[in-house]
Amino acid sequence: MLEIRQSRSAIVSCLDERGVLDGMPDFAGAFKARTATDELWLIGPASSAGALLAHATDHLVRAGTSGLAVDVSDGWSVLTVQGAGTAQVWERFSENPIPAGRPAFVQGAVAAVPTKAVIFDSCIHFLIPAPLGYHLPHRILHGCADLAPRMADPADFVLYPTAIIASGGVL
Amino acid sequence: MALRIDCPNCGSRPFTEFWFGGVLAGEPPTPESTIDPAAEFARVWYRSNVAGMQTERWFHFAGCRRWLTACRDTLTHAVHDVH
Amino acid sequence: MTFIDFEGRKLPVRDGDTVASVLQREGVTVLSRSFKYHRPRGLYCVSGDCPNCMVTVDGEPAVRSCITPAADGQRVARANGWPSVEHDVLSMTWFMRWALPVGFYYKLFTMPRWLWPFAQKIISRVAGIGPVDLTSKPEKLERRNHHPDLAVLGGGVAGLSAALSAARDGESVVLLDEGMIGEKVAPGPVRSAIDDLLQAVRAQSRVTIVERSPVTGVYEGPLVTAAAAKVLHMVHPGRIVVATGAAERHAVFPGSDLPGVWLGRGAARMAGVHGVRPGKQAVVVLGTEESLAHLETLRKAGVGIKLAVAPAALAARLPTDIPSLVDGQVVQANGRRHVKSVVVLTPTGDRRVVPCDTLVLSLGFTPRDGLLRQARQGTVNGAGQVVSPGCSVDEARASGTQAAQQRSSVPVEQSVANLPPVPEAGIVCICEDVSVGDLACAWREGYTSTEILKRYTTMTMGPCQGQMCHAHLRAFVRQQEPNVQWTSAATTARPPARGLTLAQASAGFDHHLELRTALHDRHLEAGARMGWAGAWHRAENYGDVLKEYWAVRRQVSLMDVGTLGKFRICGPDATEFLDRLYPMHVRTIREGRSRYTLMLNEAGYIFDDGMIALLAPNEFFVSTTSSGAESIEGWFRDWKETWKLKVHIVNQTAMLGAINIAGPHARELLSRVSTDPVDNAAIPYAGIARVTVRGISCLAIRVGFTGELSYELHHPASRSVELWNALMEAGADLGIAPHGLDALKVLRLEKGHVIISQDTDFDTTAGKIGLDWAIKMEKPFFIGRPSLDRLASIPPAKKLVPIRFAGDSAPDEGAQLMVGDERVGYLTSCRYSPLLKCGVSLGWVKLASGVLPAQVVAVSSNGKRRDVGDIATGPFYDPEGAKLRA
Repeated sequence: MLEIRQSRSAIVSCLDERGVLDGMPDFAGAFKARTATDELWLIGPASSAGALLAHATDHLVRAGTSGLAVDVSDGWSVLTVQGAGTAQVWERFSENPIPAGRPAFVQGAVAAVPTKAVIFDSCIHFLIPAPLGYHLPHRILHGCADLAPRMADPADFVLYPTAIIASGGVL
Repeated sequence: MALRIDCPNCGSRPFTEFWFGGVLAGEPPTPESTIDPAAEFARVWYRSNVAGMQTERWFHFAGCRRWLTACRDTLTHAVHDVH
Repeated sequence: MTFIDFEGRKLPVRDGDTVASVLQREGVTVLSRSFKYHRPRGLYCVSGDCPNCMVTVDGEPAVRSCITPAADGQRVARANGWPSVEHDVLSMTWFMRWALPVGFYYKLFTMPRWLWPFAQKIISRVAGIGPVDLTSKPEKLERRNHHPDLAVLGGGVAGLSAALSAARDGESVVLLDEGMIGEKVAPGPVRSAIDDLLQAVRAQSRVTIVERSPVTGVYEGPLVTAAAAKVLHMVHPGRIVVATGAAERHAVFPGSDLPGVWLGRGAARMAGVHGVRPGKQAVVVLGTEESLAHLETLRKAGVGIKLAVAPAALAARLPTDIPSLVDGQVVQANGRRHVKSVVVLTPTGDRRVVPCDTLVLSLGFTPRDGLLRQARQGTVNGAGQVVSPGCSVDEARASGTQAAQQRSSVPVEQSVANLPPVPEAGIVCICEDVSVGDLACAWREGYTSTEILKRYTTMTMGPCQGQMCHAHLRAFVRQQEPNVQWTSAATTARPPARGLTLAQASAGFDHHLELRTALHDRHLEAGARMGWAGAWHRAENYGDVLKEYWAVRRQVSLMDVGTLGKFRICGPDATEFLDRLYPMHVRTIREGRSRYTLMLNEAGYIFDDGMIALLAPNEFFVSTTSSGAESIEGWFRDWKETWKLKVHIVNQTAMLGAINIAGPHARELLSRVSTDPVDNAAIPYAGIARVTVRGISCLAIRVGFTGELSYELHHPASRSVELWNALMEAGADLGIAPHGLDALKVLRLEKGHVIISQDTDFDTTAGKIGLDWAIKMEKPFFIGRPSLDRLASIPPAKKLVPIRFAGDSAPDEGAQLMVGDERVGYLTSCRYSPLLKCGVSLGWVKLASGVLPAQVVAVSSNGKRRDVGDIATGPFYDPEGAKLRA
C-alpha cells in the first residue's frame, strides 16, 4: 500500500558563504539540505515556521557576513510518499540514482518537474515548485494504480513518520 | 540523447536538466576594462563551431540552479572537467 | 483448451506455443507478402530478426509471430495482400519489375507533375506491412529507471556468464533479453548450459532479470532503452556488455525467399522447441558445426532428409543413411507459393533438381552487432557470438566473464574477413524487396558506397535493420572496389534496433505541464476559460469580455497577475549589480519608488521588460515578464558569478501571488480593505508601499499597464484565495468583476503598450519601439552598451508604431501593411476598442528616407480585406496619463 499526502512545511532558504552555512546548527524536527555551496535549506513543520526563521537568522547575523535567511515555504508544495511501493515511485518518475546514506537529499527532475527530495527508507518527501505541485500526486494516483496508492489528508510535516505502513520497499 | 553531466552540487544528471549557456569565448567587459570594439563584436557574435573539445556553460535549472563550466567533446559527447 | 482466432478460424494452442508454431502446426505456410512485389513469405529465421513472419495480432500490425507467445483469444490476421495473402493479385508486380527498378519513384510518375500525388496514393496502399487502426487510443505507459553497475544485453551463455561474474564481484546487474531466456534454443548442450547458468544467476540477489524487453538503443550516458509491452525500461549503467549473439547467415539466390526455406536454427527451433515439423521432405545445407545437431533435431521430429549438402569435414560426420552431396551448393529454389524443389550445383559444375518441400540452410553467422556499433560513449564490450560468431559454449562462457571485468571499451573490428560470398542473383534485402539486380543497377547509376546505396535502394532500412543483408551489401561493394576501404565500410548503426510503438517511445513522457497560480481553482469556480500564456495557464475571460473591459474602464476589476516574475535582490553589492545589468539609472531610484526597466542582452537587443523598486538601501524588488522569470534567474546568477559580486538573488515568482486592482474605484476599494494610508501622497504613481489588507501583508505597487488607476498587490501565495475573496466581497457594490487576458489585450493596446516578444523580435532595440528614453547612454557601463554604441551609427530601418483603423471592426493581427504597392510591414497586435470605436493596433512600419508614412493599408492574408490606418504618435486613450496618475 502506498500513502501520499501534502505535508504542511516551513522551508527557510539561507544564503551565505560556504563556511558559515557549514556551521549552521541543527533544529529539532527539521532537515538541513545543502542545495548549493552558497545555499542551505531548513525544512520543518509549518507550525515551527517562525522559530525556524529566527534560528537561521540568528546564526547568519552572528556570522556577520551579510547573509540572508528567507522563508520560501509558499513557493513549494511538499508531497510525502510512504509505504511499500515508494521505491517504485522513484524508479518510475526519476532518471537519477539515489545516493548511499539515509536520509539522502537529491535534486533533479521528477516526472519532468525540478524537484528536491528528502529520501528515507520507505518514505520520500518531494519538494515541488508550487505552480506544478498538482502534477506528481496526479501521476501517482493515476499512473501507479498497481501500487494501490491512497491520498491521505494534509498534515504537518514530520521528518520521519513513525506510523509508517508496513514497508516492503527498501530504498 | 541522454548525455549526462556531472553537476558538482547534485551529481550525474541527464543533460535535459540543464540549459546550455553557450561556449566560453573570452572575458566579458567590466566597468574597469577598456573595450576594443572589434574584439567585443567577435566575442558576442562569432562562434568557431569546434569539432572536438570546447569549454561551455550549463545552468542546472532542474536542480541546484547554479552555473557550471564543462569541457565537452562535440564529436563523442564525452564531458570532462566539470566545475 | 486454449485457442487463437486466425482469420475467423479457431486454432488450438499448446503449452509454449508461439503464434508462428500454432500456424505452422495448422499448415499455414504463407505468413506475409513482401513489401514491394508481394512475394509470398514464410517462416525463415524464427529468431525475431527477419520480417517474414509479421502478422497483425489483436489489432497491432507488424508483430513478429515467431517470438510472440500465443494466448487464449488472440486475434491473428495476415496483412497486405489483395484479395488475400494466400492468393495475392498484387504479386503480378513481380512481372512488371522491369518498370519498377530501384528508385523508380524518382523517375516514373513525376512528369507531368500532377501524376505524382495520384501515383503516391496507389503506392501507399499497395506497399506496406499492415493497416493501422486510426481509432485506437494509445495507452499511457510509464517508465522504469535502473542504475546498475553493469547492464548485460542478451541472456545467452555469454550474457549469463557476464552477469554471474559481475554479481560474484559484488556488483549490481540488470540483464535484459528480448524474450524469455533460453526459449529460442532447442534442447541440447547449449540449452542445458543456459538453464544451469540461469539458475545460478537467479540465486544472485543483486541481479535483476528483465525479460520480454527488446533493447531498442544504446545512447550516450550511457543509456540503454528497452521496450517491454507495458513499460519502457531506462537503464543507466556504469558499464555495458552486449551479448546479443549472432543470427544465421542470410541466403541469397533465386527463390531463396520462398515459404519452405528455413535457416538452420529456425527449423531446429520449430522442431525441437515447439515439436512441429518444418516440413516433410527436406534438403539440408550444413555449413556450421552446430548444423549437425540441427539435422539430428529435424530427424527426431520426423522430417525426411532428401539430401544433405555439406563440406567434406562435416560430411564425414553425417549419419550414413542420409544421401549427401559433398562440397556442393544450393543455387535455386523453385515453387510459386511454396518450395517444391531445389537446384543443387555439384563440385563438377552439374546442376541437379531435387524435389522437396523444405530447404534448411546453415551457412554461417552474422553477429547481431547493431547495439554494439551504436554505442559511442562509455565502457561497452561485446561477448560471445556477437564478437566471435560460431564460438563454442565454453568460449562464450569465458568471453562473457572477461567482458564483465573490462573497465574500458575494447574496440570492435569491422573487418571484411567474415563477409558472405557476393550474392549473384535473388532478393538480397527481403525487408525492402531489393534484388541483386537492383543493387547492380544502382551501382551503375553512380551510387558507389554502402552508405549511399543504403539510402538509394533502402536496403537495410527495413524491420531487420540490416541484420540479414548488411553483410551482403558490404560484400557487393567490396567486390566492385576491392582496393578502397571506406566504400565498403559498415554503415552507421542507429536506434531503434528493434521496433517500438509511439506509446512505448513516449512512455512516462510529460508534455505541456502548465504552471498554475494559487488562484487557479478559484478562476475555474468563477467560470473562467483558461488558456496557455507561455508556460502558464491563465484566465482568458470569465464568459463576457466586454463586461470585463468596462469593469476596468468604469468601475473596478481584479486580475490575477501572479505569473509575473518576481525577485528579491539584496546584499552589499545589490545596487552595483543591477546598475551594471540594466540600461537605466538604478542608483537614482528613490526608496518607495519603482522604475520601468528594459533588459538588454549583450547584442543590445531587448529580451524582457519589467520594473525595479527600491524598498530600502540595497534592498530591491524586481519584476519581469511571466515567461521571462525562469531564464532571467539564470541570467542574474551568471552575471553574479562572472562579476563575483556579493548579492543575494531570491526568485519569488512562485511564493508570491499578485493581484492587480484596476479601475477608477481602485483606491476606494483598497481603502475599504486596508487601514493603511493609500491616498496619492502615501502611494503616488510608480510608488510602492507595504499595506496590510485584511491581515495579509502586501507590497502595493502603482502600475499602469491597463491605463487606469491600478495597484498590484504582491502577497504570500498561500493567502491568494483569501485576498481575492476579500477584495471581491468588498467591491461588490462598486460593480467589481474580474478580467482576463482577452480584456487586457484591448486595454493595453488602447494605451499603445508593447508586449515583449508579441510585438518585438529577437533583434529589437529600444530605438525601434520608441523607448529610447529608457536607455541611458550617459551611463558608462551596462550590458549591451558596446553593441548600442556600434548600432548608434545605423539608423533604424523600421519602427513599431501605434496605428488606428476607423470602422466598426478591426483588421487581423498579422495583416500586411502596404503603402501603394509596396509592402512596408505588418500588424503585431490589433483589437477593436469598444470605448474609442475604432481598431487599435501596433505594427512594424518601414521608414522611407528616415520618415514614417502618415497612412498605411492593412491587407488580410487572403487579400480580400483592406483597412486604411493612420499612424499615431502616442496612446489612443488618455494620452496624458491623467487616469493613471489620479
